[in-house]
Amino acid sequence: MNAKNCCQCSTGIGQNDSEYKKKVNVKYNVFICLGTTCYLRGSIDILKSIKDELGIEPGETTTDNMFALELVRCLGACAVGPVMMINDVLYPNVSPDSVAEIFKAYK
Amino acid sequence: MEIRLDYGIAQLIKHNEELCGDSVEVIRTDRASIIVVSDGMGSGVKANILSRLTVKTAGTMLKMGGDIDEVIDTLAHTLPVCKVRNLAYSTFTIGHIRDDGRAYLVEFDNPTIFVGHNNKIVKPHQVSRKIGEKNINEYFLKMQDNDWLVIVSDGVLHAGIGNIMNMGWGWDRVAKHLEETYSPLKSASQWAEETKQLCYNLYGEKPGDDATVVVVKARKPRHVSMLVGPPQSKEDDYEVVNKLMDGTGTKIVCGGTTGNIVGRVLGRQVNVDLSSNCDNIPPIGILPGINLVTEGAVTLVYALEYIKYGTKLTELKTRKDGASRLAAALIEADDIHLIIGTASNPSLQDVQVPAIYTYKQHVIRDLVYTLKQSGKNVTEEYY
Repeated sequence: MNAKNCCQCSTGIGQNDSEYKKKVNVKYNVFICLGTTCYLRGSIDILKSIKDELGIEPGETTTDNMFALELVRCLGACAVGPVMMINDVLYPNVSPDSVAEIFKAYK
Repeated sequence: MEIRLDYGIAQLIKHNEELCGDSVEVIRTDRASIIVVSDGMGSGVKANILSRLTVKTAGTMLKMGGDIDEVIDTLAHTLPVCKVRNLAYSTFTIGHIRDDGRAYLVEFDNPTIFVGHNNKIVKPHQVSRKIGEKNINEYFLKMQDNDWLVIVSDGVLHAGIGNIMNMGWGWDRVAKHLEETYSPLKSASQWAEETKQLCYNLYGEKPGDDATVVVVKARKPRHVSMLVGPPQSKEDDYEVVNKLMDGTGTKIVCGGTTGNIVGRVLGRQVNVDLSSNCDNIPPIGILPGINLVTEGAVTLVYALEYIKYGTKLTELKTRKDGASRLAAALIEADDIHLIIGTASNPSLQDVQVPAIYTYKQHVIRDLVYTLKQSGKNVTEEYY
């Protein structure tokens, strides 16, 4: 797979130029991709693990203003899906089990 | 005012017969629709042949620009003569409805046509005249939004005769029933089917005659402009979004990236509506100014399936997922303009993804074909 050309909009990995709404008063903005490829590879299950991990629903912020969870429709990294993004760091091939490990670094 | 027609045809076959003695033909010409309903003498094969010949002859002649006098003359001379009764006979009702709403109806020996507006039967101006030996009734009317016509064969009016309650349904009571059961939300085929079913019950599930119900509902044309998939070249993004926004009627965007492109060009944020998530169809998006934003490949496959296998509109409307909403919007539409982006997503060719989702362009082609087959005016543009 040519990673440079993985997304439908030919912008390359993680360079989808749509502006995701980041909440300014939150330390870590978490985005989970629900685009076609990520969805088919089970991003809904990852969403569930993140919800359990953070204890918030999409669109909400944790009480300590550490994490905000948002859903997006394509992060432009279809080749390495399912993906999630924390601030500007993209996490490829996420699985429900690896979620807890990823968040360890932020807590 | 421009109108579009929604047809519904339902038929009952006489008990112990294999073929229906009534025939219906709907013909679409450039700017008009022609509907011919005929009831052949007797029942079974003989009646079927007579009525089939009648609708085909009348339909073809009218389509080619013939007038009603010629049609009747031709029928009188060409219908095969019944050996038993030494007669060549079939009744008919013909409706010629133009797209601008002008309608001409003519009937010969069939029950009087039901004409209605909303929940009220209206009596159009009737002209009776004689062509050759035949007395015909003609009606001239202008159809508008929420007008309807119901053409029935005599089997409907006689429903119930010969049964325990030995009385027919009768024109007046059918008219009252139609007034009561009309609903703008009900599709013509659903309404025809319900009326037929009631006939079947009145006959005690053993129809004593062939019965046909043809429903024609008029409504304003519904437009849908739909953008599917991102364009091949990024420079076209602005153009396709502008085209979509300039389009008339309901606006639909299919595809995650496509939704993002539209959001970026319009300067609006696309949100995900997780409540629309179901087992196998990804959730829809919310974008101000766009009526429906769905995911692409998977949603299209399911929407096509719903349309192809005739899932009922009422059922689709109760569901929340993207494919059902998309299918419902397309089924309801008359004129559909598709702006199709041909960029493909190579990551969908992955082994972990079911093969059907990788053939988005094939699915779109199939969708366009299916929509055209169901009588919709579909136009396409490729980028």
